Amino acid sequence: MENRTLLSFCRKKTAIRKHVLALMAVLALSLHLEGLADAIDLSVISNRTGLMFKLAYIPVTSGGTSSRATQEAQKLILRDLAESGYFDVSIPEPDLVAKLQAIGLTGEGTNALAAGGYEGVAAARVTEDQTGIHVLGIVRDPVSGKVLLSRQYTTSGAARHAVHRFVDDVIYQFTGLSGIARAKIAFIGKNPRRGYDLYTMDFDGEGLHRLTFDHVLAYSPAWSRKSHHIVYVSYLHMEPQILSYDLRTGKRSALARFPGLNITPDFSRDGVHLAVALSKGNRAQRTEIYVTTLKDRKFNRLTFSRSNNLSPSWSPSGNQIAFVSDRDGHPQVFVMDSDGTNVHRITFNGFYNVSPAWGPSGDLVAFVCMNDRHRPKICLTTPDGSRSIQITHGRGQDDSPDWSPDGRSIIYAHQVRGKSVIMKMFLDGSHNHRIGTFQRDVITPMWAVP
Amino acid sequence: MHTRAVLSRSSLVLAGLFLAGCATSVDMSDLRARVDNDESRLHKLQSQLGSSGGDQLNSQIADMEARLDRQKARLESLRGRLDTIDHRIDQLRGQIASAPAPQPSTQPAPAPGGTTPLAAPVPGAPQGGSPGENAKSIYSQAMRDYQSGHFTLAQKEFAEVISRYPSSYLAGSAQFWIGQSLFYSKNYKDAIDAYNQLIQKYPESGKKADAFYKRAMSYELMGDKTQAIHYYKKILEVFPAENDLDEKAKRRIKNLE
Repeated sequence: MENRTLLSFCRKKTAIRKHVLALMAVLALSLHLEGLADAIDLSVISNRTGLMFKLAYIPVTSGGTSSRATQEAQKLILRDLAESGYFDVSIPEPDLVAKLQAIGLTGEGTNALAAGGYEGVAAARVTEDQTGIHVLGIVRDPVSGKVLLSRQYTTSGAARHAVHRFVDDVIYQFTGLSGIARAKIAFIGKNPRRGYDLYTMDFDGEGLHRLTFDHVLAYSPAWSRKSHHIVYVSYLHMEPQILSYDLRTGKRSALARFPGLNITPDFSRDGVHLAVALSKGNRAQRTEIYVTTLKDRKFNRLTFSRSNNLSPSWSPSGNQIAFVSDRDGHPQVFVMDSDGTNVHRITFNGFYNVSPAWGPSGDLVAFVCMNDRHRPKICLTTPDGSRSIQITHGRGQDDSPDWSPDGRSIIYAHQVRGKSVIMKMFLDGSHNHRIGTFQRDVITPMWAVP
Repeated sequence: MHTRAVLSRSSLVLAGLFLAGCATSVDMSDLRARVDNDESRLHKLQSQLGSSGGDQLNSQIADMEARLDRQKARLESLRGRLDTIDHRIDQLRGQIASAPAPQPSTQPAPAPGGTTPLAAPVPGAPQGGSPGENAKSIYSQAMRDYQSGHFTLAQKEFAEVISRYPSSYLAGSAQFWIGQSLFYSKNYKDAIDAYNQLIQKYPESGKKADAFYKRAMSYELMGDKTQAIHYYKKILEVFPAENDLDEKAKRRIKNLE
């Protein structure tokens, strides 16, 4: 009996010693590693974010009075160029503009701009007739006057469509990269009276379009332009089910309607595969990650841990999936191969890291982290979890980050005093501004996967 | 002097971490044993119920199941702590490896028990920074290329980490990612070789279980069902505590048989 008591005491003592050692080590770590969270080197993306060209813009009038639509188009060109983040764009001195307008788009006189350090001269003549709006866009080298781009853009719809195409071409001319002026965003918007519905809009918040009229809770849209489908979570049938909206036909069908939770769909870049989280009637409503396709709709289970696994996000190569799991006691972001193997955790700061979104260039994952005041903010990490940084600050709560198709900016839902809007910012924190004019609350904004 | 102080302080922290890591591992082993014990008792009770039945046994089983769930949750929570500590150890190792190596001509001889550089360069290694920095830099670039889908390039860079810095703490991971690069290039034969090398050369690697699975999967994708089943079964045998991988392996075996 005595031996047993002694053994028990020794065990307790050993256990206490272990805990003290563990605490000491963690304390020492917290002192040593303070500040490491901010160690991310954003230069890994600065090759793209840092590209900046000084560009002169010359709005060319065609003699007579211009319509309101053409005036708006001229303003939009200037705004698109500035918002692209690639251009330090300005309209030169009025006398110089008048001179260049007077000689048209011949290239004569553009060398006067070279002295001002301009690396390009863009000019556009916007006209309107019965067939629609026409944008004649020209870009010249200010030194040689050589034409770098000359193209006519015509639209029978809104002028902005032609303008966006012109600006995308200007970006491509200077950077060799695709612009996002034709990119689209899907989001869930609150209705005036009750419930939520699915909306889409252009990259700049214009062209708002309501797709559903269900007046029920919905969230997490995922849009693949290759497959022409938006999938999202809807409570249309009282339980969270994943519905698929065919943008070509306007028809909807249930993609996943298993008992329990059917949530957080995400399209792979090829638009073929979808990763979703399903509880499939699990009593504890624990969800697991599954992969399916719109075509065969067979669900292949990837995770088998006795915990919640959700919010999958595909890597651009399609070989890996980032997801959230509380298998370690708290929700953290993990990465696994797309066959469910090679699972490893990539977030280590704090007890709440969720909503991963894998960037299109593959080298960064955005996610929601908690700041010092326990408010959700947007963070970035590398896919191996070696470096991370918080990129949104200030008041309010930020969630649902998603990457623009060019990987240079992030949109997210920003909530202050109960009002939620969509914000867009470059990775370095610049150009942080609200997009869209949607009057009511918005949740889970997502870019369309091109 | 400063370098020595940094290395000495880091070694103390590393030692502390090592102990903390051991404590957690012991906890986990203990808990795992208890979970296994409870599971066998549960099976026993279930078989008794099958033969005799009775409300009391039902109640006991329900209790056991609840207890099992609690212990599994605790086990996963401990695993989380272990993950966090592992990550921090990796960060510290990186810091130590990145610290400038002491100069033999100007520094006094290290005291017994002092630290040695974790990554020693081999002839021909770049001289730009410390060995740790160089290994980490190549490894990071390789990871970026891997994430971008440039598998051939990534494979070469991971191989460079191993050939130039064979004693680096990153060498084992690099070996795994070589296998991954080959696997996703659909070069399954070479991927198997790479995974085998990891299993043999880096038996302590945290990627060992995954290497076992990927090896089996490579055989499956090559159409060699017999070997695939053999290696999937091997996973169940060698890694009984890897629930996630075990479940996958069982499913693959069922699919193949």
